[in-house]
Amino acid sequence: MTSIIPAPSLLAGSALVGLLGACAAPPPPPLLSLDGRDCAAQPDFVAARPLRLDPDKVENINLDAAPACFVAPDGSKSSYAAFALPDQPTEFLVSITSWQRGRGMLSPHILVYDPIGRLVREIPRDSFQFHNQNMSLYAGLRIHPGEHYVVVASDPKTIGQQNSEILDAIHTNTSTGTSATAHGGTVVSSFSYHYGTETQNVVSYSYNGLVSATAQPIAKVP
Amino acid sequence: MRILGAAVVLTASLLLAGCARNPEIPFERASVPQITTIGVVTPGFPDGPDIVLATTVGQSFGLIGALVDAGMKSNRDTKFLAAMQSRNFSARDAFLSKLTAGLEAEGYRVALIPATREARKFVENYAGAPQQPVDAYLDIFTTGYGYLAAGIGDSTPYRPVLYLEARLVRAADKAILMTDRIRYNPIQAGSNMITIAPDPAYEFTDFDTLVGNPDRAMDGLRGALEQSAQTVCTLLK
Repeated sequence: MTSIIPAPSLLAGSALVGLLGACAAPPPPPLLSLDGRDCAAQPDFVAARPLRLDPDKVENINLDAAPACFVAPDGSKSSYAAFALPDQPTEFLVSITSWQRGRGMLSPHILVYDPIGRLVREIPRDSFQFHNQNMSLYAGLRIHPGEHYVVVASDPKTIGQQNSEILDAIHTNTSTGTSATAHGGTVVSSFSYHYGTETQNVVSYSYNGLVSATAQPIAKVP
Repeated sequence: MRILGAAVVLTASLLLAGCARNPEIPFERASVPQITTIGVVTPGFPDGPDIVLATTVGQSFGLIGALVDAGMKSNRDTKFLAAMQSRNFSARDAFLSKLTAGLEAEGYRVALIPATREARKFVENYAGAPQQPVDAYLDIFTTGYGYLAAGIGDSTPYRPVLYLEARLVRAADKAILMTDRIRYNPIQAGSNMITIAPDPAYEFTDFDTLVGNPDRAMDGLRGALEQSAQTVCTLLK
């Protein structure tokens, strides 16, 4: 019979995240202004994080309370995370994810540059979709020969906007007990029950957050 | 056991969909400007909506509990289907109408390609469908739709739910130009799928409230279908 109980790995993962979360410092509040920051004229490509062509090799960049920033031609300031792309002769995929941290999430758009730092194209904010039960914003893009850097930058137009969403979840509680037998032994018994919850997740689009990126070949789909 | 099997299919797919790790392939319109006419293959839909109570007391009582749950679910499905049929509501038509309008708004010409398919699968051979001059086939099927409550009680009301898979296949060489999964109101969603939170305007405390307000229930379902269709269109911008 097909089990309707969620995969144990998912539940164990949730528990692990919960335990680790209890020990870690709380995430910083949403950063809603870059006023007073002295931002560069363009992203620093020297410090760009290299990506490898491997879907399991995830590069994370944490944009904290004082993220790197640059000034766009229209004068607006953006925080950013820069990635250096693998040099490939053929098209490949790059996946960009902006994760919720606490009550904040970087509101991203993507700028793609050539090897000498010239802007090639922009992937707009509305290309990002919610992923993973709405805890992250995701966009995938095809990278072409000649494209060398991907910069995930904050979208000035949406900073400060809030997004509120309903999240459903299933939980399992297991209680275990022991009892003595008439022959001096013990019997261990357990009982599991499942329950559902609904929560409201509110996030503010901000200049800080956690950005991850991977690069991989374009998969052959059967 | 047939009823039990049917009952667990959607529930299991709702709960375990996150296990799938098929890649998402993004569409890049600028690199394929020749794609101007899209053939929308008849979307695959189940015979009727599912009314899913994701956690029940019965789940804690093994096979007997599961059998009881299956019987109760089947009863809910039948009643809700009857309520929708009394309104002449067609989930496929509502979805297709929004999809067509959305694609045309993006500047595509749309041709409808009649096709039969296996449940929960993409069409294997587009050459078997009536031939029309299209540049690509948009192939979509839903694995389930209806209403879902995370549990029993006022704090976990019934809300619309819909799971679908979509891909765009170039007619000339059958190359996959885009593929993705969309989950409206997912529960335990995993990676590699787009998620859409439910519209908070449509919630029903219990099944009796849901089936007792068929017009509103239909509106909520239509909203899920239309928002999911619009998301497909966004993927093809």
